Amino acid sequence: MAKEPKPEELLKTINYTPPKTGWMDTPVEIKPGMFCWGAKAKSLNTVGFPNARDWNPTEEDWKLPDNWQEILIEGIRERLSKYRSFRLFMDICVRCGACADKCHFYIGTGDPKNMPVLRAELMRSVYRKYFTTPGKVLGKLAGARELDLQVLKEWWYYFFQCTECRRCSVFCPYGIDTAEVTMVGRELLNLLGLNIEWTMGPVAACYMKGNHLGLEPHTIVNNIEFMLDDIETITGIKVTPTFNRKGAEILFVTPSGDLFADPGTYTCMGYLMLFHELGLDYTWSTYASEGGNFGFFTSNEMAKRLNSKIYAEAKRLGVKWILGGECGHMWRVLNQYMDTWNGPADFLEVPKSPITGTVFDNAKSTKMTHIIEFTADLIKNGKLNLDKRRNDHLKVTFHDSCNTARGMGLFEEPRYVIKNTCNHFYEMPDGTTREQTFCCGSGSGLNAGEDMELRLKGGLPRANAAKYVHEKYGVNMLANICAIDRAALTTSMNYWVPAVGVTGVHELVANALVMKGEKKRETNLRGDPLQMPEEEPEVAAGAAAPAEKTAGGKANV
Amino acid sequence: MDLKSFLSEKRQAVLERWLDYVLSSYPSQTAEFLKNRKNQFANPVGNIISEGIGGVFDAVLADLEAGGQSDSGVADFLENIIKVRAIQDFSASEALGFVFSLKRAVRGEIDALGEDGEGFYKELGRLDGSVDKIALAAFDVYVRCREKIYELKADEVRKHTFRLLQQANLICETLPRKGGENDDNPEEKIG
Amino acid sequence: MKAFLPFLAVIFLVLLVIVGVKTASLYFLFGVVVPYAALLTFLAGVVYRTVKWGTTPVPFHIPTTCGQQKTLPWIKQSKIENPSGTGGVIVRMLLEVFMFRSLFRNLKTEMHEGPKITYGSDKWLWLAGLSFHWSFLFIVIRHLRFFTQGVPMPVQIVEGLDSFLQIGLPLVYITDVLFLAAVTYLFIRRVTIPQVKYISLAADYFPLFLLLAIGCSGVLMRYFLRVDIVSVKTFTMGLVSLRPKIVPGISTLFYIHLFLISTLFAYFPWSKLMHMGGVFLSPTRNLANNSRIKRHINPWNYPVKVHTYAEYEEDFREKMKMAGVPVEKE
Repeated sequence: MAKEPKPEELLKTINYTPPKTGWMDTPVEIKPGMFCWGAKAKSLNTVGFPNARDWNPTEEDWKLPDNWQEILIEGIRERLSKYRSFRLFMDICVRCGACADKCHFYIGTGDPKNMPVLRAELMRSVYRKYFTTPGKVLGKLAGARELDLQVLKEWWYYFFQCTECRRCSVFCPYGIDTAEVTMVGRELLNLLGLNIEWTMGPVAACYMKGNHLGLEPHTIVNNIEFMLDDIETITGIKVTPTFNRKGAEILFVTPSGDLFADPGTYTCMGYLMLFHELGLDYTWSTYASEGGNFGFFTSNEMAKRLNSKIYAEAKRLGVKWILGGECGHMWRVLNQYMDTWNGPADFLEVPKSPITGTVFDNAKSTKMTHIIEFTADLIKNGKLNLDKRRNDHLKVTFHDSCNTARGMGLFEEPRYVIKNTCNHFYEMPDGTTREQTFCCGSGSGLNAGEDMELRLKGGLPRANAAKYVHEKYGVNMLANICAIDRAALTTSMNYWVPAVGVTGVHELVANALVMKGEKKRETNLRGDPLQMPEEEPEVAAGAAAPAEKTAGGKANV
Repeated sequence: MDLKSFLSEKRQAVLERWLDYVLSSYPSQTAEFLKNRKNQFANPVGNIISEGIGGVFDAVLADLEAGGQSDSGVADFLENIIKVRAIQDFSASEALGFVFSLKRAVRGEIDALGEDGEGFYKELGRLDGSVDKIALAAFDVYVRCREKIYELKADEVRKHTFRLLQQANLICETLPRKGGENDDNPEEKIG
Repeated sequence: MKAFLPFLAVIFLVLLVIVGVKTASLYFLFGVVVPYAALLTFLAGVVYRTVKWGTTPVPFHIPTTCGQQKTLPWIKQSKIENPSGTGGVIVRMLLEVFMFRSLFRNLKTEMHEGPKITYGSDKWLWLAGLSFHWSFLFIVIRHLRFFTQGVPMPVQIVEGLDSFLQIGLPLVYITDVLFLAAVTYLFIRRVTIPQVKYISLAADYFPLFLLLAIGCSGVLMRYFLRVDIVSVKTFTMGLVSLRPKIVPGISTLFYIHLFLISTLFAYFPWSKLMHMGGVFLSPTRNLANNSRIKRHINPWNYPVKVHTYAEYEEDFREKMKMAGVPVEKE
């Protein structure tokens, strides 16, 4: 064993005294499995980002410009004058510690610098040194420190160990949102070309080709055609979507992950089947083929540049309104940023469901509706013929995605849809759902392969709650409305609770959906045989009261 | 009293010692959090560790009782702890060292008895045997966890490229054709 | 160390008064000049800081939503935790400011497994924070009796409420006890909870020691080493009416109390104590979640370089045509 101190020594160390060195004097150690590779010159050049060069975070030399300190200090100054959130959050923290153990990365890693308060102090300490009188005069005594290379590396390491999930901001008495600090931190790092390739690659691809995966138009069409073949095999129905079609009523935009990787593809098949069944007059776009926005994880400006395509395409195609697929950070952006950046969308109309006539007043200005709102409305109005028994082999729980939870408040709609498509639904324990939901551990562009240990650690709090309902109720499926969740939770569950699968909500909808003229279904969308009783399907047409089987999920065992 | 009954009686005390040894492998500030935060959802790591070592301890007692012949699985408990330790910043030896520290915890408890405890020293050999057995099992679990991590990485890449290969007609198209998600292949699962 | 220096600083401040008043008889300096200067610093500082925050734009609409959004009419909105209008925001802010709503949330996650050790520091933080701030407010209101002719009705009501226990002579004010207890607790948790200790700065300990010293000197004056209230009131009325004069017969203890309060006032705007003003301006709390309903304007929104559809089609026209995707230019 590498280091095994004698018992007496050990007992001394179990005195639990805090580290001898304060956090300012504990240098950052860049550990394998805990960071993502640095962005490549090629990706940075594509979008015109500064200091484009190939670099390796584990090497001593990060190939920084000579005046990097000056660039950062000026960058901070500029952002202090532009963002009240940033200025305020630099000033008002009282370090009460309420946020300390609320971060999934802190819970999973135990690293004190993953406490939200300390993550922000990494930045505040520099702010004090260069922008406040006490900091200038008293220095360390006032919690101020010089911006040196160690500090810079620490910033890089820890601002890319935050998924901007905003759970801490729920508990902060002043609403301090670490995501705001992380976002500014990443923008500053961006000024020196210190991005990660896992976000910069998709950003560059999205800029040039319209989506993160870099799918070219014919590939998008091909991909969807493959799904159409599968749908035909399963249902006997030929679905015929259109692309870049002018004059359609609705433009549909979804994260490109759904086009490509399982299990997102099944969710995508769900959209295709639902829209076909409704006879919806809608079109896909190959230009605005990305709902998500990895630009949001580099800089505000980049996010705006990528986001602009959605309104531009809606205008070019002359649609009336826009429908958005299941995604997390995509909806934070659409709800809180899009209209401000690229609006007003006065060339569109307030979204109105052509099937039910419901007008979505809550999207009066953005003209963009979430598909889960759209589908919940369909079910409420009895427009869908759903056979819940087809999902009887599933015991489902719902994971609230950070961004739709804390950046929007989309709680009841997905639950309503799930309860109307599945007979068995169980909530995870209080304190782990809704506004207090735990991040999947891979959000904000951290779902790379090389930081797998970080992701699994950060995913533990969520997986732990899922494990609890798995053991207590036999839950075997974790539903969610986020493309990153579908990819990341699949991996996390596979490690922590292998018996629990991951699904998008519209996969559940499509499996339950009895389509006009379909053949008898032998399998579900994943190709697994359906285990259905022989008798006639009892049709639960829409508005049937959702049979709530939740046991409340209270954890007081 | 034989060692087994003594340890059953002192279960709580031994476990506390053992937990302290396990937690001492973490930075002290972290150890404090892991130890004191009792909520199983707010502190999953700490809870998995305390529950896990309890389970392993009971398995050791059972093995002692069965005269070293017990084959009842400790894999579940071990697995829960090791899954956590396999992704923390430990080398293999550090990650698994906690098993051996049970020996120290038991000896510490016996030492505390002074002369009264001398009778137990004879039996310690058997205890060590049981602990070693579990340590070997732990090694298997650890390797499985690490393999699983690499498999997950490979899986993600596979999922990302599957459709491309499919389009290039490099994969024959039959249903089912999943990218490894929830494969019910017991070999692949950790447990 | 981080706690020790601030402790020394407060001791030093006390000694400064003792030396200044007792030996050097600098009554005018400590009784008049310092309080006025402190008050001016306080007012100017608070205005400066608040204006600085207030004039910094809020470019994006970023409320943290903690309840169901406004959506389809048959889904019940959580109007306070996720307000869509001004009314909801006002209630949310009131709850935040007067009841520390967010801190209270910690209670919910405190579920203990079995009857083992209970560890409820979060609930205590909420309670101590609330007791401290409310007591402080009550005490400030009570002190108004020194700055007004007669004793106004509201002050009398507060005094009555505060001493309703009717113990001791003079009657013990509940808030005096609560204030000292809460500040002591806040200090103890800072040095005993390792996470909190680890994140604490000298700037976190200084105000605690200062408040503790202010509280102690006040309590001493009221209950133990009684000061001549009539002289004090004469003196304070002089300050208020801008005709300050030193009244003889006021003990050094009073000057210590006054000087520490002056320090607090002068220190306030440049420290974390400004959270008091900041909480009202926090964009994650004071905005309604209505950014899909009403466009939020960013004053510094600027045009950015985008990759247009025309450029995109230029890149992929042939591939689009081959895949049957319509194009603008054939």
